[in-house]
Amino acid sequence: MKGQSQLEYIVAMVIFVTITIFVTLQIAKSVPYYHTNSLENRLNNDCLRISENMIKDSKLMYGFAKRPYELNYTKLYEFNDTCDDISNYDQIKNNMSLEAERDFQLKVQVQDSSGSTIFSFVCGRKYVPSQSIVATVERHAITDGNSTKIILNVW
Amino acid sequence: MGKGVVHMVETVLVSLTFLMIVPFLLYPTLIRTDWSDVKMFLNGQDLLATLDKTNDTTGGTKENFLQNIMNRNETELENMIVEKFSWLKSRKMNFGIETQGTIKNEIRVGFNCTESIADSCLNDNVEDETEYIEKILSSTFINGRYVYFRVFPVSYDEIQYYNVRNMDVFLIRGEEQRNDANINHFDDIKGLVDKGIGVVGFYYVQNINAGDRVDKEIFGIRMGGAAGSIENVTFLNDYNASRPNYAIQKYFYAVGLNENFTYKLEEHNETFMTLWNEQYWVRRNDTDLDRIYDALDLDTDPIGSYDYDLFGKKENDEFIINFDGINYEFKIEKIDPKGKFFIVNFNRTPKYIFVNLQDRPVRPDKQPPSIEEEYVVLESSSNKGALIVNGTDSSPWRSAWITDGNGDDINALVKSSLMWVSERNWWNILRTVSGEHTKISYFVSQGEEFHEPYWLELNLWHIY
Repeated sequence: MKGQSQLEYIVAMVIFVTITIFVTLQIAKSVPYYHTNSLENRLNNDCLRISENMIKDSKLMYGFAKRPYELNYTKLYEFNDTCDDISNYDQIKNNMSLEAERDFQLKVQVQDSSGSTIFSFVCGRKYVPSQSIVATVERHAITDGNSTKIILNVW
Repeated sequence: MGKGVVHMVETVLVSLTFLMIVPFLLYPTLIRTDWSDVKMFLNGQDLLATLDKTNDTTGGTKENFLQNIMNRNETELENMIVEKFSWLKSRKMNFGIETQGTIKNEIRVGFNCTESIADSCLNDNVEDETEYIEKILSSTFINGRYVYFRVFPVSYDEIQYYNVRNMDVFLIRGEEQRNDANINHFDDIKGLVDKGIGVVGFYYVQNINAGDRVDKEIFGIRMGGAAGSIENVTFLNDYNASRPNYAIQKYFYAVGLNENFTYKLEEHNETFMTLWNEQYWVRRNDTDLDRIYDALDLDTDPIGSYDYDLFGKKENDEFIINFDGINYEFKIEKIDPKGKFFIVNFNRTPKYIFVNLQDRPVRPDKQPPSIEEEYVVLESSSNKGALIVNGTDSSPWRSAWITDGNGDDINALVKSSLMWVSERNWWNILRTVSGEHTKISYFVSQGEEFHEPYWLELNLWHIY
């Protein structure tokens, strides 16, 4: 092949191939990072959306508020009853507009002024996986004058 | 060009391109997401909204925690918040709280008097002058908290070093201090107002000359109005809150008077209120003999003996003093359990009339003249201004001039004026704020005695 046995051609070819392989490897290395980032964004979005509705909305099934930041014991009890039946898990996820492959864990704790727990419950999965990407948000509100903490994990 | 030169050029170009790309490929790009900031903002918002819904029954008030935030000192407030929101400590976060729009709990009042100028200082002594002003500016209790006035002398040589961080108001008391300010120190005082420090003048004005720039430009007053005695001096505007002459009268009725049972270096069982140049005696009373003073006996005639039906009047009790045919109503706001002082408020109806003020025809100097009335707080029936303001609630600086007078009601006017001219903000929890912090603002509407809305600003940041 004319010209292809020239030294310049070979050097140029080697450089070109090296660069191409190098760039490909770098892109391949960063794809999982961006994928994780994208997933975290979606999970955090869901977390914030659901927790906002919990403490400010009164109409949704998982909206515990009678007024923004003022929660209703009756709604909390009803939600707890719904959660107790494991077969309602998918329905709850559906109401929260969570994708089928998502899981969640919700902890609600109501404390009096001395710090003693008056009422608490856990809804959703019992354990949060340590190896998965998990978005967590902690919110605060009041239930009949008592401090209320809501921790929501979504993965 | 020889054979192979183009190939060499290609090689060089590729090498250069490779060298330019390498930094971007080898070093990871830091992509910052805002989730950490968003969550911190939400935590702060939850903290404030929750406190806004938490009832605070301290002191028998019916307000919530945020409405009473000015009633607590820094340590108390910080401890309560950290106890209620333990995540602040667990997440290594720090916070500061500032209020905007509220009357300060401590108003720093500077004044200047010169011992070498006769009558500039009381008894030609700066310490006596300080004590005299402190007596005028005794603490007051408004909207559930005490407001204190810290009085200190200021030298004109050093006045340039003062700003809103170390002084709130500059007070000019008496004719000699006024003359000295007008003749020698207009620039110094202008320098203060340019920095946002308020100025209050409490002095008699015989005449305003062309060179009296403090009177004309700082206080915005001129000679004008009818000659004759100053009588039936009362507040001109008690209904239109948008005008600058509204706020001081609003404060006056809540400021009231604060009288001490300690005077002439001794503690006494009796003291007197001075209103309308009359002395009304008050005696402290321990009704259940448990060494806690809980009541007052009042002589409202004043004929030198306590009125039988005004024995044992307690906090929140009202009483009437008749003066010049008008039944003025008063309310006992505070009685110190140790018997050191008491605070009495003036009721709004009937409208309070002042008689113990010196008179000269003074008016605001405004253009057009039709707006002058908006700056007159106190006016006599012959249209003489007795308390005139310059500036508005939202202007960068404010000033107030009050004609000379004495009595507890006049002292209340001076205090109300100081409250109005000083900057309206307060650091409830003072912290050096980190460069990277989140600020959450929250509007609070409150006021047991008068409406005092403010913005509460919470600064949150990670310690590390």
